[in-house]
Amino acid sequence: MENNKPDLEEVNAFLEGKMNEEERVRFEKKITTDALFAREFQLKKALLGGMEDYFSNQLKKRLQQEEKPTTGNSRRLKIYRIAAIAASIVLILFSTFQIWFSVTSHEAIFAEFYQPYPNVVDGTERQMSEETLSPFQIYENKDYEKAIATFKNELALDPEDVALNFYMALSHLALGNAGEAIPFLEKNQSGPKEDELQEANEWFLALAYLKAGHRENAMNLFSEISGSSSSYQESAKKVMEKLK
Amino acid sequence: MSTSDNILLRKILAGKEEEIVELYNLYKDDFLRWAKFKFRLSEEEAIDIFQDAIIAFYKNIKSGKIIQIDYSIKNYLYAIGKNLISNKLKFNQKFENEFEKLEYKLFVENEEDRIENLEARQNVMKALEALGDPCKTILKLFYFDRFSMEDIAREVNSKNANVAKAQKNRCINELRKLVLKTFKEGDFF
Repeated sequence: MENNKPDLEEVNAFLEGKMNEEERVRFEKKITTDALFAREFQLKKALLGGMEDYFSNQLKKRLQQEEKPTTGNSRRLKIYRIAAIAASIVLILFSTFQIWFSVTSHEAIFAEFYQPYPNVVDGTERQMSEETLSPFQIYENKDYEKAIATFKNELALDPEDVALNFYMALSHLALGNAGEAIPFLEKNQSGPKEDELQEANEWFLALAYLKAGHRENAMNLFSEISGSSSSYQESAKKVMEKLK
Repeated sequence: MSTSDNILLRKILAGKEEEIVELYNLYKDDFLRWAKFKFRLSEEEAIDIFQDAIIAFYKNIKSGKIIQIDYSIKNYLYAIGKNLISNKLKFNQKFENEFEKLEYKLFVENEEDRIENLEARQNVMKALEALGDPCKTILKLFYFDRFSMEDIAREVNSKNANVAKAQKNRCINELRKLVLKTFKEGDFF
């Protein structure tokens, strides 16, 4: 504290709580008893805060750049989307004639396109003991048999819950039991369309139909997805291509 | 904490923007799905919150406020995100129980302190905009990225740490002068 003025590093240490008790008390006393010291403290506090804001904004701009490829040129995207829908209609018509001539294994296509869906519902923000894990966390831990048992209990209390039905189905699907998964996914299809899981529900139902050998149901659903704005649109088109 | 988290954390501690962008892209999709599903945020709101959570995480790591992460970087980011969402939603009653679950000490800046000091900080930001390089780079490396003077010397091709430190002090004085030249002293008190 030269010439009754705190230097910038001292102000930083004070603001970040990095002074020891004795230093902190002495520093606080100076702020309350020495007007010059207090003014300099305020100026340096502003310098530090302004630098933090400025460089945080720079970092924010850098992160925002990561979003540009997906958000830029919406007009071109719209044209692509219209073209994609048109292409998928052609694809549907064409594949209707081709459908019975397919030689591609349903199992192989399922294996190629199936990816476990992450737990987006519960518990990722804190760790719990093994005994207190929610069914969603058990699912996340890939203990699918135990997850099914706990989802079953939860569904007995709330049979219409979209997330419970969805992850129950996904647990069955992860174990390769598409037939068991289908009723839970079908139940959600009649649920509220604005639900965040709806897109994923539709996609996994189509995959479950495929794996269970319900080809016609699968084709209908994949063509619906490929003609929609679903984030699974491109994948659905690829599946249909393979099913031709 | 997993080995991959440990490696990433070490890279972030030693590095600058590249590593934090890697972290951003690693967990963004999961975070957006979670925030949109759980708090009914729009895509844009969820992205904005996640970017702020990443920045808060970076500052906490670099300033040494977080010295250890008990579980995973992802858990910690979700906890910061949840805290930021609670501020954004002004503690919507619907999510009250969720927010009560928070266990981490998050070091998210007190909003009241920020607002009280806002005008002065904005004045400094304007002065920084006028400050040229290498001063801006040196100040960023020291006060934001928390590089050592040795590392800064390497980054800006200074002869050694002492020379870099003298440069840093000159830059701070330059910034101080710019601030006081442009704005009244009363703007700060």
